[in-house]
Amino acid sequence: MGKQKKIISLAKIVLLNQVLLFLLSITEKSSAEAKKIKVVSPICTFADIAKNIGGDRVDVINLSDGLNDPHFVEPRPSMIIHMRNAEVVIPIGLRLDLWFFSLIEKSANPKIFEGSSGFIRTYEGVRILEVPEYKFGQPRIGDIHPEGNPHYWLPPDNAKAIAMNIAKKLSELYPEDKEFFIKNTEIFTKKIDEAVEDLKREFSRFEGVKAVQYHKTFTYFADFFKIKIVGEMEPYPGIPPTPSHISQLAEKMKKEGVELIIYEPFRNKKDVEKLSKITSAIPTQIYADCVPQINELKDYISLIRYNIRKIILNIEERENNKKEK
Amino acid sequence: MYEIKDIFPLILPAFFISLSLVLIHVYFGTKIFERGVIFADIAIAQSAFLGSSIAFLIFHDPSKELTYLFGVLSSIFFGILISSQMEREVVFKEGFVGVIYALTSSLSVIVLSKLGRESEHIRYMLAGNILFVSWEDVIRADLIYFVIGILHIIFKPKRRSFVSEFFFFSTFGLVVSSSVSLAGVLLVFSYLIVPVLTSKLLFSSRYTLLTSYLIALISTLIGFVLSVAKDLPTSPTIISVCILFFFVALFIDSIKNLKKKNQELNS
Repeated sequence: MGKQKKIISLAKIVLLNQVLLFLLSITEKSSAEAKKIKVVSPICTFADIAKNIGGDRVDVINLSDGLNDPHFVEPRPSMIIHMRNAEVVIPIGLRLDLWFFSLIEKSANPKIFEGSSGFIRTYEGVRILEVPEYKFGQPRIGDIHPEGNPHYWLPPDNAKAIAMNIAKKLSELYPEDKEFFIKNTEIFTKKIDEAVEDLKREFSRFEGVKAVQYHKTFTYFADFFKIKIVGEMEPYPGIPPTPSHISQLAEKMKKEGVELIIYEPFRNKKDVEKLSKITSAIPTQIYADCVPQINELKDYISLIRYNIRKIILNIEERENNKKEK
Repeated sequence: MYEIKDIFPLILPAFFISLSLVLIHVYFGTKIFERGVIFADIAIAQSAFLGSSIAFLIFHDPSKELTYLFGVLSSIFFGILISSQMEREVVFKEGFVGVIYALTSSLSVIVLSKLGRESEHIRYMLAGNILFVSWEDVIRADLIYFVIGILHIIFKPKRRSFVSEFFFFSTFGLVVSSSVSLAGVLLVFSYLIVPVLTSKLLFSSRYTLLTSYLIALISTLIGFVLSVAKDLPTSPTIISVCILFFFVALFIDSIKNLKKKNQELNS
């Protein structure tokens, strides 16, 4: 009997030990996870850049991607929780991602409020295009966007500036890892430069190609890769195409020899196809943001590579069609 | 992914506002139903939107209050227009309301295009999302709803006249312009119509208000829990649950009708 009791109590101790070890492993694991800096980004591109800079020190979440219109993201309860736990946020700003700012406000997390330590001014150092000039006494009608075109993240030089802004903020908040962040920024910048060199070489034959875009999404991108944007299908940003605007645009496109109509996947494809029929410009669906679940669009560099190659492919197709005729 | 208890305090204002929305909108919904002009609510909501966008046209960057005031004025104006035609037959009334809806919608698009700036921003400002509602919003809206509720209890017209219709549609405009800016057109429209329709299918008209309230409250509760548990957008989830109940009711009603027909045939 005594022996049995001893065995039982020994078993108890072993069991208790196992339980304690298990609990310890859980807490260890969660403390290792807790050490990671929680970053929330409205779009996939900023998230990808932050991952490149922060490496294993950050835990980045993106709330939208290239398949969705970043102007309108339907908020979900989990998004508020992500904001609640965030230490750093990377907003687009310039009034594009108002939903993201609403989420920040709703989170009641003072760390990420505008002007707080965890709020990155993502476009600092980026040259914002199309900022309307106001002249005193003149009517304000006709200004496109009070703070300029907010789709600034696609061209590589701006992506590098964004990377710098993220690195600066992370180094400020976590000075012990400053060198790590700076080294990663250098690596990332080099990666971009290499990719861009190839793309520029591939694209050099097509520089100066004329295109029309649906929304003012690709203005910066086109500026960088020397694609000439002749106009937009929207008469004003956010206003769906009107017949008179489209017919004027079509005239202009024919006169100038526009070869492409570029648009994002969530735009009205029928409108694009109609305009293409009248003008014989080729509908070219490209992306303004990466898409993690699609391999060829999975990160920022893949995204610009995809866009440029898609454009090249479509121009070549148009050239071939012409030859056949 | 996250714990329910973490999210709960954050969405509590949203939950409270949806209860208030149920209380006031289901009431107005039954009244709208009585008048046979189901689409009056969406027409009024659209005219509130038109008024608010006109505020942007005139003042460029109007304050929240000014935007609301313009919304209210516009919805009252179109409310009077609708109420002036209430004596006519139902088909004409519905048609007229449809015309008002088309008019206010197209005028809004014209106004937005004349603003010459990104309309995304303005659209965002004018149509709210229930998840972003704050306690302040809840209190402000509840005050408006409370006062209007009291007014409706005091002034119970015995007979419909132009004055009573004017009173009805202007208070309705006040409520709708406030609620649309908080919760968006779709949720407001659904609260007005769907519970009443469901109740009409299943229950005697004596209990319409009470049963509509119950249906709306239960859908809201289920919608909220589903939205949190499955991480779905909140308003669309509530609306879907609400409409699911409607289809269940429709199914039950159809079976009842079929049985009745069979019985008639047999006898």
